[in-house]
Amino acid sequence: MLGTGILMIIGEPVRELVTFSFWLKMFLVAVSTVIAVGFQRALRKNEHRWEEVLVNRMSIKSMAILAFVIWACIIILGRLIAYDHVWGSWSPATKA
Amino acid sequence: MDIPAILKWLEASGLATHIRESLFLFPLIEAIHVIGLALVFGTISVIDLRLLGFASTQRSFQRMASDILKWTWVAFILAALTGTLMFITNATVYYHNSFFRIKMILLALSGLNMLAFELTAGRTIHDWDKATAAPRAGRIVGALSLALWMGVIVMGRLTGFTTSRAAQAPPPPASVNFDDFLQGTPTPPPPK
Repeated sequence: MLGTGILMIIGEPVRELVTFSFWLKMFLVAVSTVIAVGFQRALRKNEHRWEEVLVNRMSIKSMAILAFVIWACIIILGRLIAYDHVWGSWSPATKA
Repeated sequence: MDIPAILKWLEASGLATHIRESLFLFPLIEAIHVIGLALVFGTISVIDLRLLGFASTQRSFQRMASDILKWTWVAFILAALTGTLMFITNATVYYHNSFFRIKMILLALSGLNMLAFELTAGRTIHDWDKATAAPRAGRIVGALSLALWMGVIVMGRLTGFTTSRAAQAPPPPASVNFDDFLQGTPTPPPPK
């Protein structure tokens, strides 16, 4: 996905880089990467009590829900790059 | 059955008009369609790779199938509903688009592929439930399923590229040459 994404940016840099959707998407990809790394670290440190104790904690559950919602938003924003006008004046593309 | 009339009626319906005239509804529906197809393809890949013996080989096939396939169906319904909503906004154009037609054929073929599974490897499921891979018929179904669904996604994307308003009606060339105003003399017509 990283590879094909970079190819699309190289192919049409203006179409991608001058959109609000693209930058918000990249921000969310960064956020979800941080969450994923955090999850894996916590899992490796507490492997023995992960299955019984930690998976049932509200804080862990809400992080999982947050990560899921962020990924759904990443998919939606990816599609909205082609329709950046939906953001109105927030989109740098509509000012041109 | 008068198909052109049905297509026109769909396009003229209040729902289709509402989606067409909204600035954000079509993009939003399309984005939800992408989530739906990502879930369909993602969950189906898990099953197909299990059939082929490439992944999750330690787990019972039936257990995996009963855990996963319900989500596949939920996602498929989501994708079919959003797909229908997009179709009715421009029904005549989609109906005549070759990529869209190939996509529908591939969808039908993947349905038949599922039926083929039920009639072959699905009948002997208890014999190979815990085996690394399905018998030959099941492996063929798994490979075909992966190929067909990839084809469905590619054809869907190509439908989008060939039916959007931009692809259908390119903006007319500018009729005013601003150099005329700046220089005060008309520029000569370009050589033919």
